[in-house]
Amino acid sequence: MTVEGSPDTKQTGRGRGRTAGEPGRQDWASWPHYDAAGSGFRGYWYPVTWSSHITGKPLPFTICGEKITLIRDGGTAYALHNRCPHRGVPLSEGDQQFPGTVSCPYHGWTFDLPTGKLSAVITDGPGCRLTGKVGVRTYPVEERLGMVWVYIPIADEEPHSIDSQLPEELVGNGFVMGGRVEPRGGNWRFACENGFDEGHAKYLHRTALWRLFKPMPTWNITRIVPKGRWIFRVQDEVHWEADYPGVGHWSNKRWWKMQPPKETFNIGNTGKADKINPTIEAQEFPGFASLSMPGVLRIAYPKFIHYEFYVPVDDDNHRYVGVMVNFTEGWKTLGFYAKYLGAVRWLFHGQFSGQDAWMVDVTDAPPEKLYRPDVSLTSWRNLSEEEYGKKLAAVGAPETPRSTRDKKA
Amino acid sequence: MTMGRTLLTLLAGAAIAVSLPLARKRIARTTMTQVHRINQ
Repeated sequence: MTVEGSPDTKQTGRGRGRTAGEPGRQDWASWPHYDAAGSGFRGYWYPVTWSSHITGKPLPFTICGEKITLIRDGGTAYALHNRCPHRGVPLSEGDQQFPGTVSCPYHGWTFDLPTGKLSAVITDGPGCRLTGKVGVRTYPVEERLGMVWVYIPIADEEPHSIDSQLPEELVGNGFVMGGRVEPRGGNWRFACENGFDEGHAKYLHRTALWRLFKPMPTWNITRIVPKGRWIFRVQDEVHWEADYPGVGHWSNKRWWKMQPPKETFNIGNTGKADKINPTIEAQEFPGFASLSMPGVLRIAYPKFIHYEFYVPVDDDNHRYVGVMVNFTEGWKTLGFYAKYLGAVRWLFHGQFSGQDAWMVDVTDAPPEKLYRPDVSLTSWRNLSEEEYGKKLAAVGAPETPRSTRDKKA
Repeated sequence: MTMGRTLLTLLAGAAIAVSLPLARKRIARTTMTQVHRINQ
């Protein structure tokens, strides 16, 4: 999955990114698009916050390094570049003086929400010559899954349909969902890699309260299987205990935990299910964990699916959007409400996910020395490299825009 | 005494009637976790 046309791709194969005398990989030059995407892949829809958070009072957000303000007017959410062209004051500090507009708090420069054009300058009277001639950038906005999504363009291209980017099973099916939207420290790529990381959950999450009564495996034999726009982790072998030469025996089995299953399974991570929800079963997922661009993780359990959307903020921060989906309708959703609000949001989207947040915040790579289970990481980097190369070609954009390597130089 | 108790009850009722929707609105605008029914 090399990308042609870039000088960086002349050097190919296993030797790239390695320096004589230094162990492991010294940089991510093997994946130039991925390496350059420190502040995110542009050309995608990103969930920003819950829809109910966006009201007539503008709020500031940073997505893919872009400072935007979100505001709602007449029931519709709008996204504008969060900088008044007059003196650079954030429009999110302002308010609405007229319907369909937002006004800068400093001198009353007033911008039309749908177009971003300057529609009046309160302190320059009705005849201001700048009206209609200057403006701020606007961004496409959609609302899905109870959240506001913003499209961050590569250039000035029209956005693709948001439904073509959402996990397929979330378009058209009825379901109930609970979720957490949270600003977190650490680069979005570390968060994404952590989510799909084959080796981490068994060890890092062995102490999570969410897993108090279920053992985690000790080690697996896993391969990566592509299907459509997703890559799947497929477990060929699951080992619940092992003897490590020279150090001893290790297992997460405990007397108070359920006995691990004897068979290998690929829906759920702690046991083979007797019954799988028909909507989940109909997806025919080859594996338990899957990942797609621009950083969407899907973990399929027998009765629910957990998703994580890793939203790039800047080089050092991201937004975690964790969503648990249960494909039930009617009165059965009440049980999910109780389970999610009473337990899942504290245990799974709280303490369990907090262990991931801790690791993402302290990860510092490259350099890195990868090991066998990290095929999950390199497969994701290969996928993103290939997909983003295609996307840039489709919009006619130059290769590797805003390279972090250029910035470092 | 009865009058005072009635007045107090009315005041308490009014306070609850005003504060509950405000609290609900406040939570909806600030909470990090939410639950939604989708496509149903």
